This record gives sequence, structure tokens and C-alpha cells, in this order.
Amino acid sequence: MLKTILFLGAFTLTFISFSQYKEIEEVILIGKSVDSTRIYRLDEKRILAKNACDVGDLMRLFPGVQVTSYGGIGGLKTANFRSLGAGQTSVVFDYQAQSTTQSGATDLGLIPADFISEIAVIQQASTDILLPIKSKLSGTILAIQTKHQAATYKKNGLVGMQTGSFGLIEGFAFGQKRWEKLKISISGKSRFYNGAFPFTYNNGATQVHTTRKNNQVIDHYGMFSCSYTPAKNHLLSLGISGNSYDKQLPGAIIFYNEHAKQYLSGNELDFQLRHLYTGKKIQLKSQLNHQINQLTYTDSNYLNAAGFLKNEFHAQQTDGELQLKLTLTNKTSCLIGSSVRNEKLVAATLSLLPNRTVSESMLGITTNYFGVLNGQVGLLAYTANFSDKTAAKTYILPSVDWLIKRKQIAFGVAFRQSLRLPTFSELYYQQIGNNQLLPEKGSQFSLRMLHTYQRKRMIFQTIIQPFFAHVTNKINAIPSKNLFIWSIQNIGKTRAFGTEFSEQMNSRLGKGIIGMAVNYTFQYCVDITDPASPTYNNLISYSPLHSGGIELNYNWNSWRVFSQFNYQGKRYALNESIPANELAAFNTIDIGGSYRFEKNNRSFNIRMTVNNLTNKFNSYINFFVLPGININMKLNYEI
Amino acid sequence: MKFSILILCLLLIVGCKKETTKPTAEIPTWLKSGLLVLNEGMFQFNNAKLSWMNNADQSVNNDFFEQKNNRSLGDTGNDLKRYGGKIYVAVSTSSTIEILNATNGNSIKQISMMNGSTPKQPRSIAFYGSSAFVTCYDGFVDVFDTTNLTITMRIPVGQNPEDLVVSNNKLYVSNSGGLNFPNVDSTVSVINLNTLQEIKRITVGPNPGAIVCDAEGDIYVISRGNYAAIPAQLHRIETFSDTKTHDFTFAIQSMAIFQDKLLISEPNSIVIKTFNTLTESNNLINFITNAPITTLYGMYFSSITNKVYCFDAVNYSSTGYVVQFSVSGNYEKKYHVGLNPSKLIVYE
Repeated sequence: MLKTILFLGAFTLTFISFSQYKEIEEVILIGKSVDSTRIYRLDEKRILAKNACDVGDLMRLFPGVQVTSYGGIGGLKTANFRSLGAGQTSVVFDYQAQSTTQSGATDLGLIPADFISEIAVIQQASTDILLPIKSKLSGTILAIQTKHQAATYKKNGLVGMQTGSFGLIEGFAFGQKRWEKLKISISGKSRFYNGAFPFTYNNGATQVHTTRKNNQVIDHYGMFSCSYTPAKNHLLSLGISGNSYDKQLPGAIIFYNEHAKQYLSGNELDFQLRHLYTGKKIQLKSQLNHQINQLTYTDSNYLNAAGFLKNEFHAQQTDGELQLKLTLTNKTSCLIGSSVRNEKLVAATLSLLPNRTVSESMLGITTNYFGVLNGQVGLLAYTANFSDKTAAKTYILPSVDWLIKRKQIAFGVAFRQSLRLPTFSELYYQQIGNNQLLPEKGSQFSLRMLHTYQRKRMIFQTIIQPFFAHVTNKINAIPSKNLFIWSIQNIGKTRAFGTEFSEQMNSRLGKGIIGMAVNYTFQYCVDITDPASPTYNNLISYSPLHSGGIELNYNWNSWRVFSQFNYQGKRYALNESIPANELAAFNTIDIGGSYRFEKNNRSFNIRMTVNNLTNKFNSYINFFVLPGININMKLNYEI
Repeated sequence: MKFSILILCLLLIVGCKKETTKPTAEIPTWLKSGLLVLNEGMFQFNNAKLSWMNNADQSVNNDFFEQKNNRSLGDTGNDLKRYGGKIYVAVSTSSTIEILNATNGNSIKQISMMNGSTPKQPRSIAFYGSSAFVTCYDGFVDVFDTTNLTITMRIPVGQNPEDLVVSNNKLYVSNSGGLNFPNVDSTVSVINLNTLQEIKRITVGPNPGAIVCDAEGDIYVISRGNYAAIPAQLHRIETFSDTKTHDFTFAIQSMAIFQDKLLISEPNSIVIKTFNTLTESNNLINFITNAPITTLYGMYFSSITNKVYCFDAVNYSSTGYVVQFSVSGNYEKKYHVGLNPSKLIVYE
């Protein structure tokens, strides 16, 4: 690992030394102010520089976040913060919480990275009126904001295309126009990926070279939004977004049998209508959302009487919420809000047709009298109807975050309780579903230390966050009758402690600006379900002790070069920490550069990245292989 | 900055953990006086393994196949049998039959069980004369020539055939239909071993699985029901008329031949009882009541060692045990093996 870091540093510095003849345009300083809600964030420049194909690829830049990636482009990607489980992370896309009715986690691989202006990890946002209540009561919020929300130009446009290894071709466009009271934005993207990448894996002592089969992806994404100001202090927003995809599913590598013929196709449509009143001391938000998901899974090698398997799922989620924020003094504000959500799922493979109504209410307060104190109490109640039975439960979810700042140092402490409701698949899937499941309960306690140091032409920012997390009633699928008959039970308990470390540095160097971002996570997450179990106190699966990355970049004039080193430590494919389950640590190096050309307020941008430069074959999830060295090239034209 | 570097170094030092690895027992060049165990592994983990347990020093090597052959057995090992000088392993998800030299464990041949690009998913193996018979989940029994190790024909049977046994010059195949749940199969196919044709299907109960033959040639088959309202049940087939003659009423999960009895385990229990195949009484006799077993995953009686071996799957995702009992049901010892042990071969 050390050799790789040294190589990376030397490589980047060499690159820089040949490039110092350009004029400096600006020095970009990282924020001096302390944001009490966004514990980590990526801005548009860093997002664009990565040439990422989807949001899942960007998440690995955050400390504390484990991205579970089932393959490369098109593969399912979910984010798991502090080992709480992906279901405890609420993904908020332009202030709309993404539906997790069926699977419990949002597939970040389906969200394109091209139109995103900010991604932030938020843990406490008690009085942020734009964030949904559902998300504010979850373990962690992953807030994604697109250009639709952020742009303020009168006229704004973007057209681009990307091409890359293994048959990647994509095109995208974004347009926005603002009038006095009206703003309309539209964006769209289409992607085709052949996915036939070569790879190598070890079968015992035998190394096997082969090519990924059945890995094609075709997807389309579109979004329309409009905001209108009918009167002073009032803002009406309408958003409609959707995607459609057809994926081949190569699945895990099965030794001697690479004949998977599985397919997944889906269509999603989201509607959002929001009204925001902003007065001098009052803010009032009302919002209505409706999400429709249709999913079809087919397996043409399935050995049933029909000769194939086809499962269709139709999920719907409708929710409405009202939030009122009162500014009590110039240092204190409070928020009260309530939401109601109805979830439905229709599928032949479900034993019943489930219908669940969830109401969430919260009272939050933010005060700046002594540091920044954010506190909230949430009340979650749900009623689930199935067949002739009704189940109802109510939970109280407190959380608090306190941050004080003295000169260049800030210190914070946070406590948070959250719930993850069982998904409909977990509750009702035929044979294995269990309609007696209770929600998973998560608790987090964390400390936060921030240090900003500025000297001459340099600025450093350090964030250290030790944490403790505890999950009870963890929902696990376990074999019950034999290896092929599983059922889902509330049996798990996990305990995690660790530390996230983030260091960002920017400095003027020569005629440009050099930047460095280091993130490192140490986490020790163990199973504490049953002291008599052989897995007691063993690391939970896919939870490395060490993970992190180093990003180096250099900007001068219209040029930017970067290198990114990522490291995933040793982990285990099952909860028993024995050599047979061990997955070796791996690291990847990506490098890239971009050139921006501007004329008449219009810019042309060309970016190129080489991913997995050292051509190492690896996988986050056992036998879900990722591609070796690959190249992406993207062209953008902005107006 | 110094502060940050100091903290980072501290974290790295704290996070580094010294690890110890247990030494692995050596595998013998020639196989004698020991047990060869098939560990099923888990679906999509490619971790089906053979364990070798050496009687002389009680050592266990859980990477027997890999060390002998420099490659893995594959995904989901389902059956292990010895016939003549060869060992046959059905590896279901990998869709292969591994054929090993029975004297040293070296691979003789790996047969890919594919029907075009569709994996046949072999499940269980039985032998008769110079032929091996393999149930394939695509609705066939494949016939192998055990001399030249080629498939000579495919015999169509019911849906998702699971287990099979030879009796009275006929082959009895349990058709589970498990992949058509809830519309499972409920029949046992009867194949004439002279003509190699299915001559009858006998309806037993939903989802037939394990099937054995007693000393008198009678067939016992478990129908596994739907794992909920319809319980598993034992049925008897008389092989002269090929008719189901009895449905037994006691609770059952799995069974194994034990002298002139059947070892019977009950659902969600680690109590093992015996069923007398001569008297065929519904009254079962307790045999093992206090076993150091977490999850009973199978049983096997060896007439060579005169021991009963039970397979403990623990929680199905942790490595398991082979637990040895005397012929009178007394616990003797246990061996720590691989994931989900289910079959074994005894070497003298």
C-alpha cells in the first residue's frame, strides 16, 4: 500500500512539474465556516472532475460510507454509513425521499452524475425545512441536489456525450430558462453499455482469464421541473422525473458455469409538487409526492415447468407533508412537521398484497446561543394491512447534535436514533417473507472535531469523527428448514465503533493550485447476536477494518489533472471471520485530466480518465467482479 | 497539519491487528483410515469443499480437493458417492460431476452438465452395473458409462428430480418440483433398469425429497410438504407392485439407513429416533437425545466403522461439524469441517 501511495504522489508531482507555465486564475479555498448539518459534501467541480458514471461511483469519496457494488456500470450500488446497513440511509433527490418500499435501499447506480450540483452526507438537519421528515428520521441522509434546483442563471444549457471502454456510449443534455416569475428546467440522458470486459479470477491455485458475459445495460433518464413565484414570498415547484432500464444480470461468477441468463427491466416515475412560503419569521412548506416503480425480473434458465421465471412487481408510494418553521429569535428557530405516506406493492410472488400507511411527525429546534444545537424528537407510527390482519406500531426517535466553534477548532457531539421499516419483500415474499417483522433500530453516538489551519498560501481542514453505532432487531435472511429454504427474521444485533478521518488541503503551487483530499475510515463492526454462536464478536460481512482514499489534483488556467487512490481493506464474505471467507484487500488508482475552453460565455470541456490504472481485478462483493483498466472520455458544451 | 498526521498515524496503529493462522493438516498421498466429507458450501460463494479427516491423528484438512487438484470444487456440492475405484461428486450450481480417483483423490475427469447453454444442475447419484445415474433438475436422469465416463442417454422423469435409489432392478426417483412452488410435483418415477425407460409414476405426497431402500428392498421417501401447513411425511413404496403402501403419521425432517432401521430426525429438533423397517411401527424409539449439535443437517451410518455420523450445519453460514456417535447412540467426538457438511465416505 505504501509503495502505491509513493508511486501515486511521485506520478502526480511529475505531472505537475511539466505543467507550471499557465497563469493562475483563482485560489479556491475550502470553506472556513462550519456547516453544522452537512458533515461531508462534494461540490460540482469535484463531481465533474471524476467523470463518474453514476452517483454510486462518487460515494466512495466520503469517509464512513461503504459502497456495496454488485459489478460495474449497471450493477446495483447501495451506500451503507457506519455499518448501519443500506436501509438506514435515506437518499433524497432534489428534496424528495426516494422510495424504498420494495427493496429497502436506493440503487445509486441508476442516478446519473451528470446533472448533480452537490452531494452531501447529512446527519442532523432538524430545522432544514426542505428535507423530508422521513429522511430526517433515518440513520443518515444522502442529499443529492441537481442543477434543476441549484442553477440561478437566466439561461443555462449543457450538451454532452461520453464514450468509454467496453462499449460505453452515453449522451446527455440539460436546459434551463428563467423568466421573472418562472423557471423551467429539463434534462435527459441515455446510456448504452456492452459490458463485455475481460477479467481474471482465482479458482483455487488456478488463474482463470475470461470475459464478462450477459452484462449489457441500456437506460434512459429524464427530468422536468418548473418553479413559479405567484406572489412575493411564495414559490411553487413541480418536478417530474423518470427512468427506464433494461439490464442483463451476469450475477456472481459461478465456477465452471458462466451461463447466467437473467434480466432486469424497470420503469420509474416520480411526481413532486411543493409550495414554499417564506415570511420574515415563518416558513411553511407543503409537499406532495407520488412515485411509481415497475420491475420485471426474468431468468430464462430457470428449471421450472414453464422453462423460465418471470416476476413482476408494481410498487406505489404517495406521500404528503407539511412543515412549519418559526424563527423565534435571531439565534433560535424551531420546526414542527408531519407527513403521511402510503405504500403499496402488487406482485404474484407475494403471499399477500401489502398496503402500509406510515405517519411521521417531528419537532425540531436549532439554537445558536452556545455553539449550534440541533435537536429533534420524531414520532413514527405505521399501520400495515394484510389479509384480515392489521398491525400498528409507534416509535419515538430522539436525536441531538451540538457543535461549538472556537477560532479554528470546532468540537461536536451527536446522538441519533433511527428506524428502518421492513421492506415489503421482507414481509411478504412467498415462502420466506415474515409479516411479524419489527423495524430495525439503529443508534449512533459520535464526536466531531474540525480543525482549519491557514498559512500563507495554504489552507488545511481536518475532520475527525469517532463513532459508536448499535443496531438491534437487525433483519436477516437465514436458512430455516434447510439450505434452500430461508426465512427472514429479526435476529441480528451488531455493534460498531470506529473513526472517520478527512483531510483537505488547497495551496497555491507554482502558477496553479494543488489540492489534496484524504479520507480514511477505521471501523470495527461485529455481530453480537448470540454469545453461543461461532460468529459472535466476528466482523460482519463486507465490513473492512480499513478503507479510504487519497485524491490529488492540480488546476491551472483551463487545465486540471487529478489522481485518485482508493483502498478497501481485508473483509469477510460471511459473518465468520475465517480465512475461507476472507476477501483480500485491494486498491485502485484512477487518473484523469480535463481542459476547458471558453468563448463568448460558452465553454467547451473535454475530460479523460483512466480508471483502475494498474489493471487490478477485484470485487467489493465476492465474485461480483469489477472491470480492469478502462478509459472514459467526456465532452461537454455549456451555454 | 502535524496534528492531523499524528492522528492519522495513531489510527493506523490502533487499527492494525496481529493475526494468527491455524496450521492446516497435511493431506495424504493415498487415502486410508479416514473420512472424506462433502461440505455443500453456500449458493454463489463457490465454496463447496471436501474435508479429509485422518483417523490416525484426528487432524482435519478442509481444502482437500483444492490441494489435490489446484482448483476449487465449485458451487453447492450436493452428493458424494464412491463406486468401484472412483468417487463421484455432484456439484449442483456449478453444474458439474467431478470424478476422482478413490485411492488418492486426484481428479480423473470433470463432466460439464450442460444442456446447450442451460445448466442441468445435477443433484444426486446412484449406481447399477456399469452405469451411474444422476438426477438433473431440468427433469431428466442422466445415464453415465462408469468406464468411459460419458453420458449415454437422458431419461425424462418428473419435475426437478431430487434423489434416487436402486431396488429390485429398478430406479426410484423422487420428483420434487421445488422450482414450481407452490405447484410442486408429488410423484416418484420408476425406471426399469433393463430398458432404461420410465414405467410408472407413483403419487406419494407434495415435494418428494430423500429416498432410501431398506434391507428388504422397500422404498421409503419423504415428501417435504410446503414447509408450512403441509408437513413433511414418510411414505413406503412396495417394489414388486410399485405402489405406495403406507403413509406414516410421525413428524419427520430427514432419514438415513441404520442396519435394519431408519434414523429419523424431527423438524427443528436435534433428537434422533429409530424406525424399525421390519415391524414398521409408528412408535419411534429415542436413539440420540442429547447431542452436541446446533442444527442437524443430515445423518449417515457406516457399516465399516459401525458408527453414526451426524452433520451439524450450525447456522448454515458458519463452518459446521461432523459429530460421531457409537452404534448405541453415545456421543464420541466431533470434527470441525467446512460450510454445511452433508455427505461422507468412510475409508478403512
